Amino acid sequence: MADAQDPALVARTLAGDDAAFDELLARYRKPVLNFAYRLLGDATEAEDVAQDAFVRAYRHLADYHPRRQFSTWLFAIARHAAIDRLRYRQRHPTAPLAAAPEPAASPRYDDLGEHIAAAIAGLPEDQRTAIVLAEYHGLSHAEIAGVMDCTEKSVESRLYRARAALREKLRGFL
Amino acid sequence: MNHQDDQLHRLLQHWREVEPAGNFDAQVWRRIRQSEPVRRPWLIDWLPRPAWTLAAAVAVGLVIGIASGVFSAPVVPPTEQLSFLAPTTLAGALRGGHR
Repeated sequence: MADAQDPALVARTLAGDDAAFDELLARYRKPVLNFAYRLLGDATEAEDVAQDAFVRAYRHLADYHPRRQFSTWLFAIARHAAIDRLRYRQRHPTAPLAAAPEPAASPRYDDLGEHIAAAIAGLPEDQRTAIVLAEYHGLSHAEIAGVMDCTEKSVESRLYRARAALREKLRGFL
Repeated sequence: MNHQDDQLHRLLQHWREVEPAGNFDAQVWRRIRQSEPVRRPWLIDWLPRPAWTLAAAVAVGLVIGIASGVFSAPVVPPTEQLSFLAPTTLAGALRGGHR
């Protein structure tokens, strides 16, 4: 996901070239949206959080260091925006959370996505973030550590526990 | 990636992606513009209260008015100020006597 042109686009944006930020939006709007979607499990909230992440990125673009991958920096911002939304949900519950559906003995194929979403939603936030970045965005352990501001060992541990939990929850589909 | 992990990876890919809304970029720009602080002239920041601004404007106006009045007034020599006195009058004769 790393792109050598990203730091140049950041520099141009900082110099006042809005077209350069449009290019960054075009490159990362879909990955950031889907990252937020898989953390939150709600497409409408994910859209809002992804937009918020880009606004935060624009505001703090001067803090971005070109030696760091722009994608991991942006994912870290998106993660914080998603965590803020999860905290807001906890403080303002609007409806009881739906229980994760148990896989049926002979699962229907069209339900599979919902079962996977429910299984991932049941993971703690740190394991969820790690597994989403690894499985859906193809980030390396080092890149995930960069997003989550932790060590690679910690990422390995989170991924191990997340995969074990998902295998258990989704064993009817494996 | 071992066999178990590979199996799980393939299963997880069945959770499909979502697509950004058509106005995603426009919404981002709208929110950026909304969150931008309103840039005010430096003088407004320097004079935070309107009363101070008014007082400063009046003071500057007075100084400019007085200065322009002082420097633009014609300088008339004292003798020319009495030139309207006719030489036939006593005052005119006295004036003539002073020359």
